[in-house]
Amino acid sequence: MRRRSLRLLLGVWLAAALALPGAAQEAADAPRLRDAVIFKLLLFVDWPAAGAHEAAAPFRLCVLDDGGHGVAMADLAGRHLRERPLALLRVARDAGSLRKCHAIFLDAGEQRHLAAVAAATREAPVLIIAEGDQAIQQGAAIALSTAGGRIVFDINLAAARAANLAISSKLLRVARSVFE
Amino acid sequence: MSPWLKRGTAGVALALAAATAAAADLLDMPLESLLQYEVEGASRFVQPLTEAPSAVAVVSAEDIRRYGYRNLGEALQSLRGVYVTDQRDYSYIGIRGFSRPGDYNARMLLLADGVRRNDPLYDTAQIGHDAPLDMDWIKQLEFAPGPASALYGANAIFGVANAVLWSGADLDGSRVTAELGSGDAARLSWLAGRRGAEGGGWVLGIAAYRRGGADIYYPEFDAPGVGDGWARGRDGERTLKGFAKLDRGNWRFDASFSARRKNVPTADYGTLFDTPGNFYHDQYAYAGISHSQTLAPDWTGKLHLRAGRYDFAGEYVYAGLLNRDETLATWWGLDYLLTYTGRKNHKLLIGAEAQRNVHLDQRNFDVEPAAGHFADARSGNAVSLFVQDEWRIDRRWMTNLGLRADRVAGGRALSPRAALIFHPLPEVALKLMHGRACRPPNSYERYYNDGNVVQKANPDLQPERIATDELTADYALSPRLRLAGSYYHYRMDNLIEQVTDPADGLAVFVNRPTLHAHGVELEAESLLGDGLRIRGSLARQRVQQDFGTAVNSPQWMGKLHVDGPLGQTGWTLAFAWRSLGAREGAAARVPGQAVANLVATRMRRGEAGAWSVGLYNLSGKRHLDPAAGSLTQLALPQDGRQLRATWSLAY
Repeated sequence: MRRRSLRLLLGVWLAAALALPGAAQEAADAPRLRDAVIFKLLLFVDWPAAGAHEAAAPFRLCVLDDGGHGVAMADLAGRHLRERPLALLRVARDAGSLRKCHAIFLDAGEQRHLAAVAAATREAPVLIIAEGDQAIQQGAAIALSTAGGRIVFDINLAAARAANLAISSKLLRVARSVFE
Repeated sequence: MSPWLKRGTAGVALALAAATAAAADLLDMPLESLLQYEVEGASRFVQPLTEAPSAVAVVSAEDIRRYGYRNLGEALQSLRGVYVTDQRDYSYIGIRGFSRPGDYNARMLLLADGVRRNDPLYDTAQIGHDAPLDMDWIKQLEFAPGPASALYGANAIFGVANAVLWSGADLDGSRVTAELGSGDAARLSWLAGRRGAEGGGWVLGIAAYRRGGADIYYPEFDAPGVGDGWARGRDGERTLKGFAKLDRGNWRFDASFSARRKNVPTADYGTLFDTPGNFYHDQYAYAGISHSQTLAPDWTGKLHLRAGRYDFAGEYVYAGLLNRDETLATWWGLDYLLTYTGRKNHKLLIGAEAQRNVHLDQRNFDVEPAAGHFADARSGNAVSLFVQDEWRIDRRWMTNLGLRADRVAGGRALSPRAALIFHPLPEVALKLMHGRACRPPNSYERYYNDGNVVQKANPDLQPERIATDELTADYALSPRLRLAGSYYHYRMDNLIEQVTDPADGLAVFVNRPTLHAHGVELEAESLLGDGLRIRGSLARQRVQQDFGTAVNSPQWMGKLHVDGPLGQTGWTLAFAWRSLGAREGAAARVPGQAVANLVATRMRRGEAGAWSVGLYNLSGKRHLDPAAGSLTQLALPQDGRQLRATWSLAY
């Protein structure tokens, strides 16, 4: 009897899996989708006004040098962000290198470094985007995670303000949660 | 190039072109549209360990390579509070001062890609060369100390180790590794993976290992009429392992097998010393298929169907007698995990697991002359339900509450857990955790006997229970310096331990009276200039019990790991040092020990491949591990200085 109910459960699941592809939207490779989301997020953040010499300088998007980004953000290479060329950099984990970035991305495997990176860039205009449900608590301004099979993000307004970054209200509306 | 290969290459090129086009499209889409996409591929299959609120430690593939860890035990004992005891049959894990006689690693849960690998008969987490995993397959090894039974059930009493295995998307290439080492050891491994469309891919791995083993001197057997104390060529070992994983859309299929034969040199259970034929055989096979599905905007479901088989055979040579143990466990299970993220700042996990243990069979018999001593064939069901809610209260506070109910053949268990996490500053994390766990006795502990020659059964064995409180602090002073500390208190009721019954001299599992353990762990990790990394830890623990000194429980442990590049030579040096305080054994106390290893690795994988040369146990001193009660030896000397040279080629 128990066996039959298990089989029934499995059958129902398989039927649902095959019959309900419509319930799912279009699907995309997770890292590529994530990279595209990060790229779009950057469009809704304003950095403090820079000098004229800075205006055309590359926008520096950093990842940690000891991270596991084998093909980190390959799709973003050669892109421009509001007329500025996007420079993808691998940086060492020291305050000097980290504070030269406009934005830093840490993936789920780098969670243990997040708090330290946040501390090292405190009050510098550096946007920290990190994966993980607890990234907000560890000082990321934007935390990426997946929920319900889709990418979602939370915003830590206090962290953004401390970094002197302005996050557009449009982004706040699309965010899952905003922490003051 | 064969036509088949050509077609394959063209296919890959086409797929790549298509993928690149898709990526360009993604970048031109508005954010709102991107957020409507469903995530596909390996990352859909979340690694559940990150869900556990614990002081999680991580050993990366890079650490494994730099320090030359060759099995799970070697990697785990680099972590604070963990030690491994080698009895030359298996490796036994010790966590926070607990590694009891007769504990076949039943109190640590071993997961591979989040799927349990402890067998259902002995509950063993295999961590030596018998492990169902090869180190080359591991992308990252995570270890969470403390009870996680609220999420994972009975075996997650002292800790959970999760090996995240490479997926095709990670590897996208092949590598061959060959190794030679002391004790006439050789190892060959091949691992290949390809990235597929939409985050999918496949991985295949195979690894073979053999070790002739050195001659070992046991003074206990150096007596007139017994022998000269030397077990010559009796420590050999052979393993063969394979692994496959296929990710396609929302589906994952994975399978693995491992087989190992170990020659046992110790003459345990009173077998003949320095005689051919004392062997342990272990075989483990696993296959699983999982599917992850978005049911509604805030609901994700994951279904996992799995099957496994574990075979053990022991061959024991006595005078004029060949005795044999045969054990078979086969099982299949169906797990369902539902994640709900619809309530703001909550993440709710609801899970159900059902496992059918088709065979839990144990036999002991004499082969020559034929005589049966014990035959026990069982089957059983295990059903579990669990729920966990993670609530991010604000940007400083989080809570995590979990509850799991298990019903198994040996009894019922209810395991709750509560954790409160506070970030007064982003770089400071304080965690307060309380957990309770319960482990029913397994069928080996309850029923095994060899015809009451050496060991007898105890069907009345009760479940053991543990309640733990732990406070941990993590402080990232700077990107280059991290400090961590833990204080914990364990209370254990009915601890299951193997003892010798004074009435008849037979080994038997019994429930022990309540005991308490508490300890402190401190750790510092620093990144100095030029890639130099230093990690050190100190652990102090004490077990208080009313029935003699706790066996195999060092009161302190120290570890130091230093690695970094050797100038501009392209070589990296890794130095590891670990020390343990004195330990009580079943028969004798063994003194404290300190072991240092040094590994040099040529990091660049050029066309001629990468090299690594390691010296293990630099001092060459043969340290002693406490001997189990089944041994004549008072203590077991470990290997002296060992040399290993590894070559690997990625292509």
